[in-house]
Amino acid sequence: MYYLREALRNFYRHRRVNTVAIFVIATGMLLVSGVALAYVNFRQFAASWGRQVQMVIYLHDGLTADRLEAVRMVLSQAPETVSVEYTSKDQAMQQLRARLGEQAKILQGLHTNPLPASFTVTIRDEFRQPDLLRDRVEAYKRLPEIEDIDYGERWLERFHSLVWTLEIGVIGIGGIMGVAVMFIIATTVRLALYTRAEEIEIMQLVGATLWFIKVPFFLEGVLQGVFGAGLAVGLCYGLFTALMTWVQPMGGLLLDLSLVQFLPLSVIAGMLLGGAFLGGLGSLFSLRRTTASA
Amino acid sequence: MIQMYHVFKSFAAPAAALEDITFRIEAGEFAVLTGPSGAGKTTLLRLLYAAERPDRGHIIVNRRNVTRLARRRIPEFRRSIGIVFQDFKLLPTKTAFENVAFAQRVLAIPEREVRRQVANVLKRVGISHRKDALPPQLSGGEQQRIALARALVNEPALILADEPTGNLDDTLAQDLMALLYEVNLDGTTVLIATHDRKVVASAPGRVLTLDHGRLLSS
Repeated sequence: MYYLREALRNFYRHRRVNTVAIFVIATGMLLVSGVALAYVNFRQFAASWGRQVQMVIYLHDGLTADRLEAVRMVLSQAPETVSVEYTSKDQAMQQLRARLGEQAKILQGLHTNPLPASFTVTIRDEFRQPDLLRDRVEAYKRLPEIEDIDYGERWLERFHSLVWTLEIGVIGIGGIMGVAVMFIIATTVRLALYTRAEEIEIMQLVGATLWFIKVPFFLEGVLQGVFGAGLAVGLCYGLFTALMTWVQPMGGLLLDLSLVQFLPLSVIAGMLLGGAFLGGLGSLFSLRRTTASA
Repeated sequence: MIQMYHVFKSFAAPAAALEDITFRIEAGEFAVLTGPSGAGKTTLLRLLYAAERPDRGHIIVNRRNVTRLARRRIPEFRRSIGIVFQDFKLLPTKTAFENVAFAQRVLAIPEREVRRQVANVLKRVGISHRKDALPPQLSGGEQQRIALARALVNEPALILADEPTGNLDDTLAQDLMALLYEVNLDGTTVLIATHDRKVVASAPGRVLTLDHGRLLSS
């Protein structure tokens, strides 16, 4: 209790230095939260795009109802399958007509329906990877009832390599920024402590143990970190809201803006904890140097 | 109370800061350590409160061998002595009361007891009326009284004072010395380092003279 009271008192008494420290921490954390926001939303879009991956299995003509049912059973019980939807030859033709609209006249010359019947398989999230799907497709192609399979192989491969590149990029940039922010925070806390080096020396001369001195400073560092991170999240939210308000009228042209979201609570809590950790750690490291001399 | 045996201390400078210092101060004594600036008075006091380690020799303070004191034992050792400095060394953001109370809080004394003892010691040094002031709001004489109150609050067996009158005018210096004599009459050993001749002349006890790091008389 004494430590917390002392930390709060000191926090108030050294409010100028602490305010500077909080703003520096907030600036650093704002960069981190910006990267986190970009990453969270990128994942959101990637997941949404990924959900569009389907496997269309085209069947040979003239299959009996038993054979069709057998293929449906195989597909339904496969581990990657969420749902299986059958499209008969006639339904395929109707869909084509509907898609062509007025140009459907060009189909009038056809005496027979050339379109195959098909099963459309919706794929589970964890199977939406080129390698896994390729293995499944190869296995299905060995079935005599199946003529061909389309699962957007090229699109899926490109999409995956894009996701991978962006994830590595974000993690790399985030990592570098995280380290930079850590140094900035440690340096700021150290500068704040240098202004109080004499105070620490006096405490030691009066007979205070290192822990008696360190704990309030540590808590003060934690407070700086939490306030800095909180301010960063607040600023980030303000900027996010402003940006969304600005983008909304032109929205929907390229991206589905309803998918855009602010940082989830778990990430905000992580940032506050991260700020507390960095502030506390910065204090302790700086104190090690300051107290070593007295 | 204090024993120094053949103590040597040198820093980076070519000349030794202290050379072969041997003396003894008994419990209850009032002693003055004098000499010109740079004679080694402050270094000697810093050795006594374990802010420095000697290169050679032994130092015993209040039955503890300071030379062999482990680093983690230093805070506990310092709590058994009271130290007064020329520049007061008060915590600038704490009130007069809080500065004195801090010396008690490091001992984990219950808060009610802290309030009682701090009030008593502030009364004893005659500064109760300024207990809520911050050090920058106090005069030099008032700040030194607060520093003395902090040194006295834990009822130490020994008071070390490094140029305690250095920043005070003659009247305030006399008042402070009178307080230190009074403390000594209550049984506390007092060692004052000063180059102020008036203080030396009026001191009731023994005078130890340092010059160029050597003890000339004791």
